[in-house]
Amino acid sequence: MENTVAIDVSNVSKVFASGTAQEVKALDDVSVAIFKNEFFTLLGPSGCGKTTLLRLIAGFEHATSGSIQLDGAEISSLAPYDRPVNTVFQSYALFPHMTVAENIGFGLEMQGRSKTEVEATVSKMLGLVRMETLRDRHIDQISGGQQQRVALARALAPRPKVLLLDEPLSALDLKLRKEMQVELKRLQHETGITFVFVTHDQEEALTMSDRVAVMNAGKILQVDHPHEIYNRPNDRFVADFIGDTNFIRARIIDKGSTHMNLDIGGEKSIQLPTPSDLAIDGEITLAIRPEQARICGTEDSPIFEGKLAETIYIGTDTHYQIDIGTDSPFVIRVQNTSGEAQQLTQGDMVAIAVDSAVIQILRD
Amino acid sequence: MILRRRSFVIKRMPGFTLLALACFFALYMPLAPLVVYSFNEGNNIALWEGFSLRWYQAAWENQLVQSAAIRSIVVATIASIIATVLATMVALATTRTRPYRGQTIIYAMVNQPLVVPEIVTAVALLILFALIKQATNYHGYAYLVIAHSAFCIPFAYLPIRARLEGMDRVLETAAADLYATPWRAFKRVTLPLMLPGIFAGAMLAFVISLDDVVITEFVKSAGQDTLPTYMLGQLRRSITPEINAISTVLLGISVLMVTLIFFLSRKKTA
Ligand SMILES: Nc1ncnc2c1ncn2[C@@H]1O[C@H](COP(=O)(O)OP(=O)(O)OP(=O)(O)O)[C@@H](O)[C@H]1O
Ligand SMILES: [Mg+2]
Repeated sequence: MENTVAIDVSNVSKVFASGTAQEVKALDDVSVAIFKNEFFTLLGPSGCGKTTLLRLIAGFEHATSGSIQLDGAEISSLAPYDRPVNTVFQSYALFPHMTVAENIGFGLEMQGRSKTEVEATVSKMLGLVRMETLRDRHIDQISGGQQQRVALARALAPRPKVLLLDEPLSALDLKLRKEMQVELKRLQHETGITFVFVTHDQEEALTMSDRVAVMNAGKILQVDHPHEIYNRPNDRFVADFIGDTNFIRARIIDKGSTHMNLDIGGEKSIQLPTPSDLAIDGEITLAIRPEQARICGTEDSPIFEGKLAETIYIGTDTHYQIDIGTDSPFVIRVQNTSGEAQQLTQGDMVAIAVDSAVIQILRD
Repeated sequence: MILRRRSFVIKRMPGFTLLALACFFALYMPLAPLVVYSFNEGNNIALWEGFSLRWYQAAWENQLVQSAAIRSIVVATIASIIATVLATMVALATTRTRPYRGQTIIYAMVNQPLVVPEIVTAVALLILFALIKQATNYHGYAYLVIAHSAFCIPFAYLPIRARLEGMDRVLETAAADLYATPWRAFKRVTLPLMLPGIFAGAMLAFVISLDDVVITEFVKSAGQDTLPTYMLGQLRRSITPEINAISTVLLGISVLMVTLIFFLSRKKTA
């Protein structure tokens, strides 16, 4: 993918109700570059500022400070109707007094396109979202899933440079949601328009996106490809928010040029390669995904040992909770490939091996 | 849900149905003789002498009734249009702007005719217009139209405001997002969606203007009787079933309007 920047958000802050008791810093010095033709996702818990960032890009809200550029031109001072950016609203916001076709044609008409061009584009869009047969229906005569498609077609019809989608799938049931996820990917592919997608569903974010920005409390913590976000979280919040993670607090006892010894509160200290790229000292946190650790024999260089506290069978996987002397048990997830589960009983001492390459070291 | 179980179901209150019936009776019973005797053959308003439409014909052919009726309709039409336009603007200014200082004052001012006793407004207008009449020597209909427009504004305002408040703001945001300038967003989205409210407001204003007695009585110049003030004048002399006939027609118009308003305001906002 050629990485031309489509949207460049730099040092943007947004404060609501400034100077009052209800003052909220919805965005706190946010900078991010969104590339052309990219499926970019803003992921984060409720209230972290996702909608606010979208509304700033769309022009419905003005930034307290910072700048927003589209294709290299500053757009912060442009009104929403002057920005080549369209939005798919969470509530769809379709015009109830217009038909499906009139809704889809609205943006084109406002742009002053000719009648024939509007007609042609509307037909094309109806085809794109597979709604040809419903073109003259009123909005209250179509289902929620169909409204969703009309909302998409309406926002795509004027061929915006960027399409903003604020949790567009959250009102749909699971099956329809999965269908629309595929549909959205297809639409993004076919139109080549940059999509900025908002969700608080991590699975949705990981499966659909080219890149994901993880947000919390008005800040962007990490922007990266889904597998990097999952495998190389750079922040405890990111590691915790995405997937399941074992966190182990550790203190560096001594640090050599190749290896360092860590005290994790258990009987023995553990040894890990010293990371080259970051200067760390004192207290750190280790993050290990449950499926990236394994139970091994003593010949296979284990890094910790512990007592099996609980075995939880969940069909495809088995979870082993192992007491390694830290506050919470260490969880290992093993896929049940063969019919028989591993023969372990509660209270057994087990050795745990983890590839040192998959251990994430997080600063505190 | 706990709330639902606890909620107050008025139909279950003992005696509710009876009370409701009694209220209906008290409200509508007095109208019955009025309507019935408008079809009376004789000219006594309390002695039934057989069915006829003669009083309707008499009223229809009465020059004074005709001109009063036309005057009523003209004044009500112009006043309700003016009031509705103003009320629409105020409703937009009180719902489609960021909160600003003085909003409550505007709200109170617009609704002032609902609160100030009508007779006080009437006297005030009488004095004001007397001064103007003296200064300009103009005695035309403008005074009536202005007075009616003024007291009709809150009646037009309330349904329009209700409609606007029930309308999802995100629709206007969506229009702006789709390249509609504020004016075009208003024309293509806000206005069509608030139209049922505007019609309801206009009709309410029309009925209110049509029915007004007190202010009209004080403001009108000689020979400017509207239907209600004409009827009032007639009542001072002799009462004939002609008055019943006119009243029944007015009643019919009001009922029709209110029914229309009811259906209009029930139309979905979506
Ligand atoms: N108009 C506003 N006035 C005051 N505070 C606001 C306003 N809009 C948003 N906020 C606050 O800003 C913060 C971020 O809100 P935002 O809507 O961007 O969150 P979000 O990430 O979209 O959350 P969700 O997932 O629940 O939609 C919240 O604390 C919210 O209460
Ligand atoms: Mg949101």
